[in-house]
Order: sequence, then C-alpha cells, then structure tokens
Amino acid sequence: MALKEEEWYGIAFFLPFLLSFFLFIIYPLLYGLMTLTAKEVWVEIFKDAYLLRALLNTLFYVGVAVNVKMILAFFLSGLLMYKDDVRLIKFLEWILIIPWALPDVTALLGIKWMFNTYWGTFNILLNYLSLPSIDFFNNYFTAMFTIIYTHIWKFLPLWTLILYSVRLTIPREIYEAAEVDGASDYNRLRFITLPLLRNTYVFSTVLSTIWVMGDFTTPWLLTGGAPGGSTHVAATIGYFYAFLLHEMPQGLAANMTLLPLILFLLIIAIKLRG
Amino acid sequence: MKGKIVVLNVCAAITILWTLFPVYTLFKIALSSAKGVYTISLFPVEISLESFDAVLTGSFYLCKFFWLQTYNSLIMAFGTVLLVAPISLLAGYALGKIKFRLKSHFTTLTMLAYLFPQAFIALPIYRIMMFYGLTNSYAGVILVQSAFSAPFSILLVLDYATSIPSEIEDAARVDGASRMQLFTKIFLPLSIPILITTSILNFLTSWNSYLIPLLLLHDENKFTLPLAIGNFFLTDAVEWNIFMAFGLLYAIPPLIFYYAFRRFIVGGLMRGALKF
Repeated sequence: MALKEEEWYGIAFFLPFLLSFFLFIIYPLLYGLMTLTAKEVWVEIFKDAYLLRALLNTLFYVGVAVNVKMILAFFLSGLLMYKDDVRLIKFLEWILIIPWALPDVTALLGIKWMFNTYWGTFNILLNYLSLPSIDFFNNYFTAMFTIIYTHIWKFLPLWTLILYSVRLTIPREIYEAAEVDGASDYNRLRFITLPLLRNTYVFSTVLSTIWVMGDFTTPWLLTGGAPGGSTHVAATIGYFYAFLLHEMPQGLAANMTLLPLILFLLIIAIKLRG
Repeated sequence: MKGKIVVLNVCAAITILWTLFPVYTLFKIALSSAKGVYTISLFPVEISLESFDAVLTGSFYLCKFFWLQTYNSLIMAFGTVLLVAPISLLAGYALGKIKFRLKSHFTTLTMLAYLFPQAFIALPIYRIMMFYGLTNSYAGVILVQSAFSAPFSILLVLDYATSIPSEIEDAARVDGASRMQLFTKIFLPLSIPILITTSILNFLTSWNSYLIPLLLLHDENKFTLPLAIGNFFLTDAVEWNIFMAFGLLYAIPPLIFYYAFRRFIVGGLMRGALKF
C-alpha cells in the first residue's frame, strides 16, 4: 500500500470525529474566548462577591473532596484484598458500586432528603443519639459539607476499584518474602505497597481534580448556591449569572474563568501519562 | 490474627453502612405513604406503593409526562449510541492500525477532548447551539452529547485495535486487500465486543446526562427524565415519596447495566483511568 494513500486514509477515518469536535467543542470555545475580551465584563464580575467566592469554594471543595476520597480509596482498596478471608468484605465488594451506579439526580434526591432538617434520616439518627438536628442547608460550612460528602460517597467506589486493580497486580511473593525477612505490616505498606501504587495514585488525583472542578450537577441541585449564593462553585456560577441573574455576558466570562487552570492540569495529566 | 479479623469486620461494617444509608433513605421515603414521609422515624411507616403508582399512571401533576420523558431519554441515549459507534470505530481504527504523520497529534487531541470538563464551556455551547438553531431539539442534544462521548470510545477502540495481531491484516494485504476492505472485512467483524462495551457506556452517559439537556431543552414535553427530577429540587411540592419513586424507576436501567456488565464497565473505565 502506498504511503501517501495511508496518510489520506488516516485523516479521512479521523475526520468525522474531528468535524464534531470542531463544531461542538472548539468553535464554542473560541466563541467564548472572543467574548472574554470585553474588559468591562471582567471589572463587573470581579466587583461583586459571587465569582471570587465561587472560585475559593471550588478550591475548598476540590481540595478536600478529592484528597479525602483518594486517601479513603487507598485504605478501602487494601480492605478489599481480604475479601477471601472475611465474608463481610465479600458482601461489601458486591454492594460497593451502588452509589456509583446510581444516576446523579437519583442519588442527590436521597441525599437532599437525608440532610433535611426535620425529617431527614441523618438528623433523625442524630436525635436517636440525643444530639440536636443540624440545619444543613442554612449554614455555609454544613452546606459545603453536604456537597463534599456527596462527591466522596458517590465516587469512592470507582477510585477504590481502580487502586484495588493495581494492588491485585502486585505479586504475593514480594509480601511473603518481606514477611520472611521480618518486615512488619507497617514496613510492608511503607516500602512495597506505597511505592508501587504511587504513580496510579498521583495520576488518579490529577484526573479526579479536573473532573470534580467540572462537576455541575451536585452543587447545583444539592444547595443551588444556598445559603444566599455562598456555595456556588466555578462550574455553577456561570449558569447562575446567565439564567438566574439574566446576565449572559457575565455568565460567559464567569463560566470560563477557570479555563487556564484546567488547561494547566490537562497538560500535567497528559505528561504524567507519558 | 483473631484481633485483625475483628478489625476488618468492623471496617467492612462501617463502610457498608456508609454506602447503603443514602440508598436506604431513598427506599424508605419512596415506600412511605404521603403522611409517612413526614413522620419522624428511621423506618418506613405506613408502607405503600402509592408513590410508584402515581408516577406510572402520571396522576401526580409533576409526573404527567413520565412516559413521554422516558421516551425522550431513550431516543437521546440511542441516538448518541448510534452516532458515536461509526465515529469511534473509524477514528479508533485509524489511531490504532493506520500509520500516518498526524497520528500522535490526533491521539493527544482525543485525550484532551476526553478529559475536558464540559461544564466550563457550557454557556458558549448554549450560545452556539442557538446560533445553529439546534436548541430544544433531540438532534441538538444528541450531537453535543456525542461530541463529548466520542473521545473515550475512540480511546477504547484504539486500545482494542492495537491488541489485534498485525499478522491478520498483513496476510490480507498480501492478497491485495485495500485499506477500506481491511477495515470492513477484517476489523469490523472483530470489533463486536468493543462495540458492545462502548455502546453500553455511551448509553449510560447519555441516560445520566443532566447539564447538556438542561442547557438545550426548554419544553417540558421535550425534557429527559433527569431534567424532570432536577425540577423536583426547585418546587414547593411536598410529595417527596413520589419524587423518590420517580428517581428509583429512572435508576433501574443503569443499575441493571452496571450489575450485568460489571466486568465490562469497570474494566473499561479502569483502562481509561490507568492508561489514557
């Protein structure tokens, strides 16, 4: 087959995707970037507190949710390694993917109600333990907590299974040899498991950070910015400006504020993958 | 060793409670009667199926379009699956099996497209779709959804295509097969397993998608199921048992798919996180 012909086939086969990519991703992106050149929009959105607050919230949400989730996933994947020894862990493995398999909106219905001040199951549980109810959605910190909680609850299974699949590739003989040499549980974790999981852990953290930053559904439906627009994040603030305050130019600008950071993280992700 | 088993059991039990508590809440409320919802108890009171009945018969005013919205959701999910299938098979095959100069650039581009979060260009997409005249239509949602779903499918097909031994193609090439014949006669029949995997994943992504339909659809009779559920969060209606029943009925297809194709889905997504 002629080389030149191969060149053409390669491009032609890739063309349908390229077309949809340009029409529905690149063109909107360029259009959005063009609107960002209007300086007065920037002055305006940085004058009111919503955007800055949303950006700080994003750092808070992503920073806490991703890291707590990954640390829990690390330990939980270790727990799953004992599934053949403990029957309860076998059961755990079976039900573990339920939160992840549930669609976002269904999971959010359950969680929204769970945190209801009067009739929510979480507050009823607190009352059983003689603790006072918490008015989750009327306080900035508890409202942020519900968003962070939801993310961890929903995505812990996925990252646990990913770390678990890496743990399964570590040959048992390494651990056995270390045990014969008298290495303690802690040392086996420190000198065998951690170094072998490190790359996947770091890469997963970067990927997860990118995706959590782009999570619109959870903050939007769970708190919708409540109380008083204080819990908006970067992914929801643009929608808030555009459709609730009816300020489309500000919405477009606010929507795209985090693009430089996202681009930076994307480059890191691609580099890490090698 | 005995102490260790106890600790492991305790950890497992805590994780099970943590995992199931919100799910339990969903079922508890969905199975309650209208009065039972507003009773302070951890267990369902006055168990009844009236909420499911209200959804399925459309007798409650916020659920009157339930079947129509199910149909809309199905159309958009199948539309995405059907559109992404040829796009991803062609592009994935090109990146996996054809040697051409732009190949590595195209692969990086696909990865960038896969990782890019749609929420950060949501409003520009909304504006451009108005410009194309594709808002409030099935086609608009399917096209945008496909643009975001295709990259991951392409990467999975690419991975699969690379795993097919090149001897098979070489043999056919000696017999004078053209590139097009190699694709249609050899690759396509072999691609069935990966086509099933990507189709399931694309169906689920589209079925679960909230942001894109929210931006593009305005009429309640065009709504998909998640949009109808999204509206429950905004109303003052108090029938949360009906909302939960609606949410659970909507969750049935994903739950079945996830459990039936567990290995496929987990394997597919893992390859995504570990390799791409």
